[in-house]
Amino acid sequence: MTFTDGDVELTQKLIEIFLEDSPQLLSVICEAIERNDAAALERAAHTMKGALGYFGAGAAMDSALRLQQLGAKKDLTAAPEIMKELESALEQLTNLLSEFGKAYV
Amino acid sequence: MKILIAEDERISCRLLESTLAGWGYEVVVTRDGVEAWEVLQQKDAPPLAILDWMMPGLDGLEICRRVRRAEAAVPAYIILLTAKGGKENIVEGLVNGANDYVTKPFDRDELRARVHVGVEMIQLQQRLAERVVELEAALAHVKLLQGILPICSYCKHVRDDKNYWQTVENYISDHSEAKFSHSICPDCYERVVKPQIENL
Repeated sequence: MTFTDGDVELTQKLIEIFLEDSPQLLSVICEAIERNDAAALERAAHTMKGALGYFGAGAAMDSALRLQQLGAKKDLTAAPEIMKELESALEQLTNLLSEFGKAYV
Repeated sequence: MKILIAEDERISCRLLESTLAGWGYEVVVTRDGVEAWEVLQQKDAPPLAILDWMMPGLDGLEICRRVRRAEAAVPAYIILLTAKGGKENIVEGLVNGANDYVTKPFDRDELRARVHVGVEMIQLQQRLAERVVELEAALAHVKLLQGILPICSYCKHVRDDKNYWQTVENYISDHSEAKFSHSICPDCYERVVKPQIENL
């Protein structure tokens, strides 16, 4: 992780924050889709995309970006499907980050 | 120097805080636009602010507009932090009062360079603001020598604001930085000095 300039402690802290926050963000996204709340979806997907950016998570970022764009267009028809993609990409990333976190403990 | 961060996404926030603190800045962390705007209105507000564009409450763009409307002597230098790319968004940010922008996820070297530009700009503005205060004081002083001065038609003494008559040179010495060196003009030399010499 180049952003932390080799600071392992900081990297671990960021991973810890991500592992704490991403399930909450995901549920906010999920609820926004259920409520058909485009503005809330746009905001939560944007935040999720920002957080994912630090972990080079291309596939998950792409899904988050598409959800954000659907929110901006106020057309959530395709949202549940993309939400599933995001969910599975996140699961992989979460597993990877948990392993990384343990490796440094 | 104090730097304000306004960022609701915790990873960016923590990373910014650690990075800036590591470079020796005093970091003030806020988690939404309303809180950031409150800090920026305080008397000893941080002169440099790194604001996320999309935030709950007030967004970064609205804070830029408010800061510009406030017209402080040394307005906050604002770096907008945004995941948004594209020329249009950057232009929108700058038009609304941001001084610069950094896209997320941010690059350390780029952030350091942009913060450095901001710090230099703030120091320049602070020096200019100090000069303006000095110049205003000087101007107020100069103004004392303007306006209508009552002067005696015979002896040319002038009356000051305390109703005291004094010589022109004393008045000017008291009310300006000017110093007088006494000399004799050619007319007075002919009229006064020459007859005196001839009478010796």
